[in-house]
Formats: sequence, structure tokens, C-alpha cells
Amino acid sequence: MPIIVNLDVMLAKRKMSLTELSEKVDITMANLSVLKKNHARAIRFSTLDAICKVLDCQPGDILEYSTE
Amino acid sequence: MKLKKEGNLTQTTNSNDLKSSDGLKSLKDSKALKVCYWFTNISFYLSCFAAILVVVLLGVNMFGGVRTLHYMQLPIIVTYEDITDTLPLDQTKSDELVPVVGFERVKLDVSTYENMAQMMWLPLILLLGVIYIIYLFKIFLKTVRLNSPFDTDNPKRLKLIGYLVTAGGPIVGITSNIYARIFIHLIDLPGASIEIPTEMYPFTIFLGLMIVVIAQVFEIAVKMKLEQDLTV
Repeated sequence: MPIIVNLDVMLAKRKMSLTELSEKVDITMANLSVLKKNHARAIRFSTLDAICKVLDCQPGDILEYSTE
Repeated sequence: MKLKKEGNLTQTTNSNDLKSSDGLKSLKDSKALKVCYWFTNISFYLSCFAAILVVVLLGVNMFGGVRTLHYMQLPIIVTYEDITDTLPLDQTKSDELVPVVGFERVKLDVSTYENMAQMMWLPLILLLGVIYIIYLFKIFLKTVRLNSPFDTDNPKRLKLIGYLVTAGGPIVGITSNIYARIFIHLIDLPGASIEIPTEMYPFTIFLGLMIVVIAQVFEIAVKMKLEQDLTV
């Protein structure tokens, strides 16, 4: 998959744990884990909106396109 | 490898989502499903018992020297021409031989046939096939009861059931025909003409193909579910 999810990087920058993010964005740990491990096939705009709001970042900070 | 990993992930993440779904909750508690599940279980154990019984009978016949197989039924057509004129009606039906006009099974005394035990191997193999079909369906129903009908293995199970059911009808038809041809010389009915029809059981072919189509629909559903589950 050429799209890489840099959720762990953003979490480290904001010094936030996955559990904390899970509670704040109201998404299950299992689903966030899927996203973090880059296993997700798709991401809803509402999820992206919530994550960006909590982490105070842009979608581009979480998602990255890689040709490799 | 990656796909398998994703599949496993799907199953773990989905169980929670499915439990919260009202539709699937009602499916789990469905009485029809419960009845079907228990009926399948009973059929499975009865078939296993029948298979064990046939194996024991075969063993007794082959090695014990005791004849336990005395009768077999043949799917043949018996047509009488002038027999009603020569025989009273009550004499046309004896205890050992019950010929009926039309497509009926004739009860045939085969106690004198030497190779009877060897002839039972084919029905035993067919019985094992039936047990395998019931076993696959039992596992399928179990996954449905566990709220994961779109298990990654279910399309394969359904497809296998479909192919076996499709092939089952013609196999049984051909087997019956072969058996009837082997034993037809034992039937001695004066004034009657005997025919051996080859029945292919078209309904089982249709049923089997229908199951294969449903399996393909399940395959698509599993893929769609995977997509849905991996959407965060």
C-alpha cells in the first residue's frame, strides 16, 4: 500500500498514548491499532477529522504517500 | 501472508461489532437456526452410527462367516402382463419378494449371493460422503451461531458441499443402476418384464448448483466484510 499512516509519529510528537487518543476520539483501540499498523484499507473523513482535531494537525501529517 | 494477517485481524475486531448488531443478535437466538443446528447434529451422529454399523456388518460378513445381509432393495421397474389372470391377487405379494408395478424398490433375497459383503463397500463410501457433507454443514452452522457467518472458510465449505451434492445425485443413480444390473438375474418373476432405469436425480444437481452459487455470493460477502472491517 503506497499510503503510509504516521499515527505513531504524531502520537510521539504530542506525547499521547494510543489509549488516550482512543478515549478522546471515541474509536476502539482495535480499530486505532489497525490504523497505526497500516492494515487499514480505508479511513472515514469523520475519523480523520476527529484524529486531526485531537492531535491538532493536518491530514497530511498523519497520511503520507510513498511510491516504494 | 499479509492477507491472512488481515483476515485474523478482521475476526478479532469484528466480534465486538457483531455482538452489538441487533440483526445478528436475533440471528443467533433464532429458533429455526437452533432447530436446524440440532437436527444437523442428530443427523451427523446417526450417520456416523450407521457407518459404524455397516463396517461391523461387513466385518461379520467377511470374516465371521455369519450372513447378516439377507435383503437388498433394487430400483427397478417391474411390469406384469398376464400375471393377474394366472395368480390370485394375494399371491402376487410374498414375504421375500414384493414386486410392484411402476418405479418401486423390489425387496430381493440375496442371502445366497456369495459376494454380498464386497458389494457393500460402495454404499459405505457413499455414506462417508454424506457424513462429510453433514459435517461441513455442521461447522458452517456453528460459525453462524457464533455470529460470524462470513468466516473466511465458509465459502470454501459451502462450495465443497455444493459440488458433493451436485455429484451425489448422478453417483447414487449410476451406483443403483450398476447394482440392479448385477442382481437382476436373481429376480425370477414369470410373466413380468423388468427394466432398469437410470435416474440422475436432477433435483440434487439443481440443489448442488444452487449451493455453489450461494457459496460464490458468500465469497463476495466475505471480501466486502473484510473491506468494511478494515475501514477505520
